[in-house]
Amino acid sequence: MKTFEEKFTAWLDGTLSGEELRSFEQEHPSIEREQAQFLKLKKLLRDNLGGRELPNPDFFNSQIMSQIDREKAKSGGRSSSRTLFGLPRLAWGGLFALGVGFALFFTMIPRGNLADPRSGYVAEVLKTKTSEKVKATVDNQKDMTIIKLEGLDKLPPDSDLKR
Amino acid sequence: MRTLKEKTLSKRKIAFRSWQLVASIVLLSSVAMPVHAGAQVWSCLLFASNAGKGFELPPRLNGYDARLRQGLGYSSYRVIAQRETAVEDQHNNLLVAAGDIHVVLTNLSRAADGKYLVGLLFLQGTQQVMETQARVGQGSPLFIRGPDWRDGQIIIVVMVAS
Repeated sequence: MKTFEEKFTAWLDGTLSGEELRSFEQEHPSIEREQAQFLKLKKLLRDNLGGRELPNPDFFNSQIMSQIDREKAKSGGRSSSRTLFGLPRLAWGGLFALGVGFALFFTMIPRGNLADPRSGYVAEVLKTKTSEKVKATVDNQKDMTIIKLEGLDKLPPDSDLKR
Repeated sequence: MRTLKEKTLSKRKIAFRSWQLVASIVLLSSVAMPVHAGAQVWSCLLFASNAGKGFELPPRLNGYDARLRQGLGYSSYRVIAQRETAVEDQHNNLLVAAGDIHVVLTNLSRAADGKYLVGLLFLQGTQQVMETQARVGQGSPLFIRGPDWRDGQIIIVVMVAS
């Protein structure tokens, strides 16, 4: 069974007909006066309380987008600076520098007890070239490499070999 | 107009390339440093004989008396001349000389394993007797039997001191 609101709405739209229409108008004799008041109220509301259009809708949108960009730039700048000088990069940089230091230490700085001639002795003759009458042989002894030259001219006994 | 993202990436690239440049300069300067800068080469002439059992060895040859006796066969050694040379130019440095004997450093460079590549020229008078190339460690002397003199022999010793 239709409610009053349903019947009234249908009556206003003109969709109420037949027996329903007659019974509705009989039950509510002042309905036409109420309809007139209703239409007057509707016009009043439409004229005074309609949706207001923004005078500059594009300006509003651009303001919103600018604010979004500013927020993005702030968060993006902070993250880039954190990434550039962040802890992981510093740690890796330090490890790399340490590795380079160790590599240079072990390759460039000699180790072993240099005061003890028996430690770390290295003397390897790679090649020799002599004059025609001289012959060179290499005698590799333990901790001592000697180049022997045969055919050298003997120095005169009175040669002045100054200290 | 460049966006914020492009600007950020550009700054990152510049910073990264700056670090690359600095690291390259530091590494290359350490590796490419001339080995002869500040290198000291010590050389001496010993007179070895069997006249007595005297050892007048220079401090650089401390501990070599027994080996000299065994290796060279002489019981007495004394220093005729010794000299320590700061190598500034790696070519043709006179190391030690006595009379007609001259020992010249013709080349000095650093090998990849930290040892030294040494070029030596032994001259007697105006004659180039011997030229040699050797790989030596720091503090490791190289011995050359020189000419006979009087009742003994001249021994040439060359060492890269530092």
